[in-house]
Amino acid sequence: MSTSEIDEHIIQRHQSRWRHYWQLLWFKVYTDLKIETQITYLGFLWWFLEPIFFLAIYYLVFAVVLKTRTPHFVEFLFVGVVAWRWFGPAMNRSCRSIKAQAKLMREVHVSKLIFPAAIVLNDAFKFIIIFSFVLVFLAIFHDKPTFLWLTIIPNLLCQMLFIFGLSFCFAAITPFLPDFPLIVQTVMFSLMIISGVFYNVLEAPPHLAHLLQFNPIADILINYRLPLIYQQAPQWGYMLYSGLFGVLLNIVGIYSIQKNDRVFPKVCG
Amino acid sequence: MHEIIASLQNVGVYYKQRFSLKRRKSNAYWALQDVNLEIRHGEAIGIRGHNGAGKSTLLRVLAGIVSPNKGVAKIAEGCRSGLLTLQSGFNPYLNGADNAILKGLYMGVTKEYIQSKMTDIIELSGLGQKFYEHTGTYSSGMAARLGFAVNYFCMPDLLLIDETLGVGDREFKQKSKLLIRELIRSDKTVVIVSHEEDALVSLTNKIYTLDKGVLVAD
Repeated sequence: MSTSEIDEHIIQRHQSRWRHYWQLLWFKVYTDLKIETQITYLGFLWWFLEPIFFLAIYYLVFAVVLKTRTPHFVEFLFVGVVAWRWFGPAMNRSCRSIKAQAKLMREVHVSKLIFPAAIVLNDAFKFIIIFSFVLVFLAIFHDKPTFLWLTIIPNLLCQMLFIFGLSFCFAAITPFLPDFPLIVQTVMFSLMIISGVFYNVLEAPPHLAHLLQFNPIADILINYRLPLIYQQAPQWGYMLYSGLFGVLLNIVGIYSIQKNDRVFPKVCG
Repeated sequence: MHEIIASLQNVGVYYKQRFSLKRRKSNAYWALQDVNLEIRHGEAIGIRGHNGAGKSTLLRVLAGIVSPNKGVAKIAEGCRSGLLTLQSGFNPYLNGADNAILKGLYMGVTKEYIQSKMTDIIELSGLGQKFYEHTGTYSSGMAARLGFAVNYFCMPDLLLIDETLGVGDREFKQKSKLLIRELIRSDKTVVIVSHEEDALVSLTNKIYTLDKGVLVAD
């Protein structure tokens, strides 16, 4: 084989940088999912077992021990736990995502947005599969699906935006502040408590409920539960609020990563 | 005269040591200081220097991996520059094919292009059916051969070579060394950093010395 042979095949380059990143991103999501199912014995099965395990624990504590009065508590909990499982792990993993690629970043230049984005999409894929099972469960054991169920689509998009935005922001901070993942763990645990995963924020005293709804995650959970469990329209105002919050986080996060794109390889040494 | 494909003007790069309350002095360490360099299409440039002289940082600036803290680094529009990285970056849980695609994508070529080169990659690496097994089962020589083959077919326009000219076992080391030498002698634009004085003299047209971040032409 000679160099002239390579020159004959002009290396096919990407017409557009973004098209290239798009192709890289999807291939990375695909290979990450493939690796994940291969390195564990339970693999794919664990995606289902984990939320069921949490569901059982929370049910034991809140329904059996504390005797909660929230109606349809199993369904309520199921939706909350599964929706939360997209936030929590994605945040904890994506805050380390850029720093974890230190070696690669010192060898090739690639947009650092890819690393947190691949994690969010990886978790999104799992979420959509598990959430589909939750919908089937609700349709069989709770109530027939109504047109109101369609309102979960914009809510899902708001959740996706919010997770992308927060992941970008967190991923941009860790290379400069190595202790940040520890802080994120604590913050995520606190957020889980105040977001109403296992209690209804709307049942709190009105002034407190209003305050808790400043947290977009609480709004997203409410807007899944209202149409799916209580056959009520979602709170459109709060849905818009969580969506706009997500847009703002994306602007800040993408700007921070892009601005430091060629600085990260130096600080992650 | 050929067109300029990369130029550095008064480029300085510093690394910051971790913030410390005890340290009062500035915590910046300048790896490159006022570096001026012009690279024209088809040139082969050699850079010699001791460990810690700033050679790797210089290559990273040329590869667009880090931005200078001072001065201007320009790379011509549409020019893909990249480090020749041979040993690294394979995920042990993916097979050779998936790893080749991933590495090629990181190097800036399309998935379709790498897929069209699979037979050549298998042939050059000499991996045969092993190519479709997890790279975790490869010996370090096999991984180096795969790394070299992917690099060879995804070669950037401005090729930056850090130290090593050959990889793998003895036989493959000879083969890869010959291929790299052939690339350098062709009209590829190459910047090569090496301790091997003889290699630099025989392969390059211009040699610079880098000492404590300062670049001087010989």
